[in-house]
Amino acid sequence: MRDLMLWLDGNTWSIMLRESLLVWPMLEASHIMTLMLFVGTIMVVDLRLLGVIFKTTPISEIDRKILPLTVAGFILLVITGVVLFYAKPLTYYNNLFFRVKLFLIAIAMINILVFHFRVQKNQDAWDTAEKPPTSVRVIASISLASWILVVVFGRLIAYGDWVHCEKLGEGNIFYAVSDCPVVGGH
Amino acid sequence: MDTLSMFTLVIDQMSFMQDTVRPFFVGIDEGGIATSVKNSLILIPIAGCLHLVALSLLGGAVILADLRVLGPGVTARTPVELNRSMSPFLIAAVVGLIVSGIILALGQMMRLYASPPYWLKMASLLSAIVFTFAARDPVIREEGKFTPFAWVGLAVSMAIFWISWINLTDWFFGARQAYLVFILILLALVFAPKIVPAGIKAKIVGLPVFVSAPAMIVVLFILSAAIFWLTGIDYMGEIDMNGMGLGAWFQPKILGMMLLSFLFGLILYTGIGNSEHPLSMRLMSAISIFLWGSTAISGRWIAFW
Repeated sequence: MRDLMLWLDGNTWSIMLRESLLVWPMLEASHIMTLMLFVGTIMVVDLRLLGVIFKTTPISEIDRKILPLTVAGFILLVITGVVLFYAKPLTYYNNLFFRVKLFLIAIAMINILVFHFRVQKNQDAWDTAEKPPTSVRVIASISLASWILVVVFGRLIAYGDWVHCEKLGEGNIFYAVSDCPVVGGH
Repeated sequence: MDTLSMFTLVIDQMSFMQDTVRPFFVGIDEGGIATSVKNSLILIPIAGCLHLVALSLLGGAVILADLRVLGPGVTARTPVELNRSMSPFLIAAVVGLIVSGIILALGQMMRLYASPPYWLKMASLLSAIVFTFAARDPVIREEGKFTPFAWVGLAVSMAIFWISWINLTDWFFGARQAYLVFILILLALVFAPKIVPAGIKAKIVGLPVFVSAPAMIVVLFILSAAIFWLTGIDYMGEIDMNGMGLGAWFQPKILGMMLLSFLFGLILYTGIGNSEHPLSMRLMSAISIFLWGSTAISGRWIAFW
């Protein structure tokens, strides 16, 4: 895997992207804007599922009107995220915070699947409930917490020096988790 | 001296900045609080995380309240109700942004002093706050009617933003192009449903625009590759993202136009911009998204200056 990242890192397009005067900042700005769209709207959906806001609005109405925006935000977030990763593959690949972020995204996605295929099956029973059942509120809490943590660890990627391979040193558990090279850092 | 440094120096050449603002910034930068922040290993990262979470919350609050007016939103609630529900979240997000922003600023006062994106962010933030509470909220409450107070709010916020924008941006670094694209997207949301009525006709008109983005990519690729092939240039080794050729793909203007045509088509095709609310209300919501969006974008650009 690391060899693939090394190859990507030396790729002409990757170098041009990270060295570009305008495109890199624009990508970063787009990532932030889509983050506001995605996380902002998913927070609203989760807060409704927790019974905190829009208590008198049916959950299906929130689903129908807000989720398309959330999905659009997620697609744009993934596209800009993948391009950002492509521009600095090795930096992100060995970054412990980036790995935690991916792990949290995986948890959030599994949570969505559980909600969709298990919990949401009997939505008719609690669609208009001001305070949905515990199972729904647990799912919403996990979702809210995991997406906020995704944002937090996404921000911490910029402080990757804290957990840089050279600082961790061989033998450290995080050195292995970050897939640092056997000799030296990246 | 390169253009970037010259542009940065413009700020320091203003007499008000040099005489009043600079000593203020120097004083804070050399003070005990700023020194403590700079010496702390964790304060700035924590503030950075809080800043981003607050920004996300702000996004949710603004999108929910303003998109409802523009069309795609929770129609089970009136814009006034939605605005009222989102207001505490908006205020919490702004407070979070300001508190964390102050900590972040304390760590790099002099860098921010010379940063045009920072001043644009401050102008956008101030303008957005004045606009939201003094202009947008009253107009939405009055179902599109402007009170004298709302006119004053609109005039003050627009003056703050546009005077700063004219002084702090130029076409060279792509900032104005980015703003132009942003404005056109919002105008498309406001006016597209007025130009083309909803229904089958809109879908027919919207469809070619909708497919124009991928089509443009293909055409650009073929043309660029053909030019490089015909001229015998090794394009993989000659790509210049700040120039032309294949790098033209990555020119903000072209990217922006592709994005714009795509979104314009999407708005027409799906009819998401259809709304029964008066034009004045729709414009106010579009301006609100614009100003808060400008606060976020210019904030991100600080890192690159």
